[in-house]
Order: sequence, then C-alpha cells, then structure tokens
Amino acid sequence: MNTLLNKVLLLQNTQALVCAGSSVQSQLLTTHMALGVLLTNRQYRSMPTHGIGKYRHLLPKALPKKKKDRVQVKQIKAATATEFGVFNVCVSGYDMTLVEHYSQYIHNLCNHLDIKVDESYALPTKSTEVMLMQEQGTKMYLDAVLKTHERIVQISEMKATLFPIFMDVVLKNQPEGVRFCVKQHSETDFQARFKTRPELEGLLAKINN
Amino acid sequence: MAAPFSRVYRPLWRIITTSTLNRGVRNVSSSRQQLSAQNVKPAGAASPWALHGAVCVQRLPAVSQDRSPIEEEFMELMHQKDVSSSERCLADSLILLVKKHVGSQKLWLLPQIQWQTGETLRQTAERALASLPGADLTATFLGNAPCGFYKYKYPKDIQKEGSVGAKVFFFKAVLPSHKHLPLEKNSFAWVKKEELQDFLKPEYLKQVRRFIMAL
Repeated sequence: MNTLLNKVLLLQNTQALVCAGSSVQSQLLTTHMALGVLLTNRQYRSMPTHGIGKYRHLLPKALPKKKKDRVQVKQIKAATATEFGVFNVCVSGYDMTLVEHYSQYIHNLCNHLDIKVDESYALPTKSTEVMLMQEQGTKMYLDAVLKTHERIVQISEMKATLFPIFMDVVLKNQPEGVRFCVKQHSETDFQARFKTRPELEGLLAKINN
Repeated sequence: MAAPFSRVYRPLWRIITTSTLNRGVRNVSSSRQQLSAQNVKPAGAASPWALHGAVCVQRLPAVSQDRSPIEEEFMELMHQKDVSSSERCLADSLILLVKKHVGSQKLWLLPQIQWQTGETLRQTAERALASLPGADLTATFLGNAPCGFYKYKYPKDIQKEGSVGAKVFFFKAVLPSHKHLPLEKNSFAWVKKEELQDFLKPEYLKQVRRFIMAL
C-alpha cells in the first residue's frame, strides 16, 4: 500500500516537475535568459515518446583515427587456371599530364569493368640530364633535363577471358609519347618502393660479421 | 564468351579524329606469366568437329595530332586505296585478311589453320600466323583465351561419318606499329572494320564483328 502510494506520489511529483520544468523552460525561452541552467526533462521508458529526439544511433560509426601502421607485405596471390594473379600496369613517359591522365583512364576503365584494382601508385620521378659537348674543347655542358614519370596500377584477380579485351582497349587508346607495359608483380617490385636504410644495413652487416 | 563482349563493346565507342604525322612508337612488352590453358582433346572421344585456330592480327591506330591539308592529300595518294598496304588508314585499327581456298572456293578469311593434337589452341593460332606465305609477322598475342568463335558445317557432299564441320577459335594479336610489311596484293588485305563486309561472308562476318573493336 505504502509503496503504491509512494509510487503514485512520485508520479504526481515528477509530472508536476515536468510541467513546472517545461513551463520554466518556455519562460526562459521567452524571456531570453542565458540557458546555463539545464533542466533535465527526464522521460520514462513507458512514455510513447521515449527517446524521440535520439539520433546518434543513426549516424555512421566514426572509428577513432588510428595512427598509420607500417605497411605490411601483402600476400601476392598466385595465378589460377582462369585468373591472373597480381600484375602491374606501368605507364611511363616524359610528359606528366599524358602519363597521369592515361593511368587515370586505365584505373577508371578497371572500375567500370569491375576489375579489382589493388593499388595505384607513382614511382619516384627519374631525371635524365642531356649533356652536349662544346664546339671547341672537351667539356660537356648541361643542355636539358628530362624527367621520366611513372605510374603503376596494380590489378589482381583478372579473368583470363577479359584480359585480351582490356589490353585491346588500353592499347588502342595509348597516347603517343607514353610507354605502356604489363609486368608480373613480385616481392622485389614491392621492396623497391621503400627507401634504403644505410645505418640499419650497416648494423646488420656488423652483427652478421 | 558472349557476356564480356556485350558488356564492354557498346559503351566503349569512341571517335578518333586524329591522324598522324609520324607513327607513334608503341612498344607492347608483356612479360607476364603464361597461363596454362590446356585445350587438349581427350584421346578417346573424337568429336565430328574439326578444330581450327585463327588469329586476328591488328595493326593499331597511331594516336596523334591532326594532319594539315597537304599531308592529307599526300596520304590519300600514297596509301588509302591500296588494300594490302599496312600503312593505310593510320587513324583506324586494321585487321589482316587472307584469301584462302576453302573447298572449291576462294574466300577471304582471318588466317586460320587446323589444330593438331598435343598443342594448345593459342599455339595453333601462332602457327597460323607464322605459316602465312611471304610475311614475317611477329605479333604479340594478347592472351591465352580465345576472343571469338565460329562454327560451320561442311557441304553435304564432303560430310562423312566422323566429320560434320569445323569450329574456329579466334585469338587476338597486335602488331608493333613501326614495322613496314610488304605483302602480296591479291592474297592479303589490311581492312578496317567498316570495310569487312566487302570481304567476308555474312555469317562469318557476324561472328567476327562481335570481337573486333573499332575504337
């Protein structure tokens, strides 16, 4: 009996509080007072409008930002009877816009044909110095610097039946001045992207010796 | 084989209005691992269809800037009409056709040769290319998988118990563009896709058209 009474009283009290709270809030709003005082409009789970304003559960989960781990050596998939393994399409040339656009074209073509593109990266630019002999004398002087740009699109699990079609399209749209080649991906290709660490190698040599 | 083509073929139409001053160097170097697509017929079950391997050799177009009017005229004079020259229309891709005796007729076909036991169909296609009289064509094959297929029955009087007709599998190959190839006029032709209908029979043309892309 007592508990029931208590509950009823509680209900009445809270309802009163709720009404009072809402009225106070509306007063606050109308009188433009600073809303530093938070009045908790506690809703109970039995209320039909419980949790009506919640939206955080609808937003996509924002994972905390990880720090970049060291790039792992990915397992290079082997070729099966009907699919190629991992291979690199390298586009290189002197004109960066052409090379860049051509590699982008290949990448977009793969996306359109649902071919899996593992990675798409650029190798460091190589500079070639063109040196000319002077008319009199034996000294060479610098005439021009040619920069070779290279872009690689790494493709994996391409069907063997699709490959001739893909190659046909890509070859027919190859611009002039751009070299194009298809190579099998290997461990050495992967390691070539990293900088050498001379101190580490020196220490390792010392340990081994 | 039909599925990839219908998906890829139509949306990839492009109009190339560029022509050339000099041929662009296009080095096709593919040093990838060869798949083993063995197509060896089982020894016991002899099917009534003879297998042939054919090769679709393409001379790729040279993508470059437009020509000036004088150069256009010069090109017209030199090479346009000569069907057996491989420097014909540099803006389009050309396909090699060969005139061959088939039965009693002389027909224009893609180079093909009969398959022998123990070799893959791609090797058959390579042999077909190598066996062309007078032409040392070294083309790069674009893959181990055939790109097209044509089936025909022999005429009634030739049909025997064990042979009903022949099935031809086409393989795509690409020529390096900077080579000059002197070929005999009457038996070879470098043909654009639009001109194919003047050379090939309708049924054959229908199958061949499916895998030839004019980009």
